[in-house]
Amino acid sequence: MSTSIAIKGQSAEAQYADNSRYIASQHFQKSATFGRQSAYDELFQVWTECKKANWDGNEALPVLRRTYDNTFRFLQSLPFGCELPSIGVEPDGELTLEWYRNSKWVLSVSIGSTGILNYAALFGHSNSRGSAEFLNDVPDILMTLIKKVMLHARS
Amino acid sequence: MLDPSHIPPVDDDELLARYVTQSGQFRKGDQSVKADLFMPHPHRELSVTRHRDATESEIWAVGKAVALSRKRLYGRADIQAMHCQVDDLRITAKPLLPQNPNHADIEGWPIEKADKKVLALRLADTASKLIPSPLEP
Repeated sequence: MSTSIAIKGQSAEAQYADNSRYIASQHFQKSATFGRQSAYDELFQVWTECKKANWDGNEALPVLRRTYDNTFRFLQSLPFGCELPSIGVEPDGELTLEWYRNSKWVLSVSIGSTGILNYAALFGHSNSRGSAEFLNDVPDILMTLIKKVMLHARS
Repeated sequence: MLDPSHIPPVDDDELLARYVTQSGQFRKGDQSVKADLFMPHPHRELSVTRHRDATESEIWAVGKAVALSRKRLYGRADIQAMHCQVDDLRITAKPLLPQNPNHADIEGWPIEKADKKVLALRLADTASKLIPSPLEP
């Protein structure tokens, strides 16, 4: 399989360096995808179980394809090395991403079809809650909360 | 089950069951349940089933009925009534006759979704871990 590479440098050394950078970036992307595959698989399983209405036997709303897509893009946009969340679902048809250390140190983010993120977290006896817009990057406030939960995991 | 002609109010020390019908409602690692399990339907209160005067098999029979339209009933999580009385939340006996005289609702949820999520996280914190259904393989 041939691959076209944009050569920026002029010398052989520069071309070699550009080539190496390109190959490294390809490896990086593949390993990032591979590292997230478990989250993608879990997302697909939850969506499959809940894409039809009444998935809870209590008239829950279906998880729309757009909600699935938004959640997939959110997972894609997590920085490399960020701990992956587990996937869940709520009866209003929104998917949830959860970062969990224990039941008192936990962050839950809801993603729907509109791109609005509603989140809540417990930090021991205190909590945090709010909403943010997802514009293809994980909002800073959520990265801060993710780090707070997961750093507690290592303390 | 409770006598349908005499449904008492819910006492603080009663156990309430919430049925798990979806794999994303509990954590595979330690079998604890997620806040997702305690999020109310957007237009309703949160349904629970009281243990009071019910046998174990009767509690599971209600769960099976709840999950009737689903492929499986993963199990249930139990929570003590007093732990559901967070902020403005309260529990009201709401028998569904004739099927489930032990039905109750957790009412008083806030409007904003993020506020609901905090309460759901707090309920999940005090709930039992997943109790697997004996009716499933």
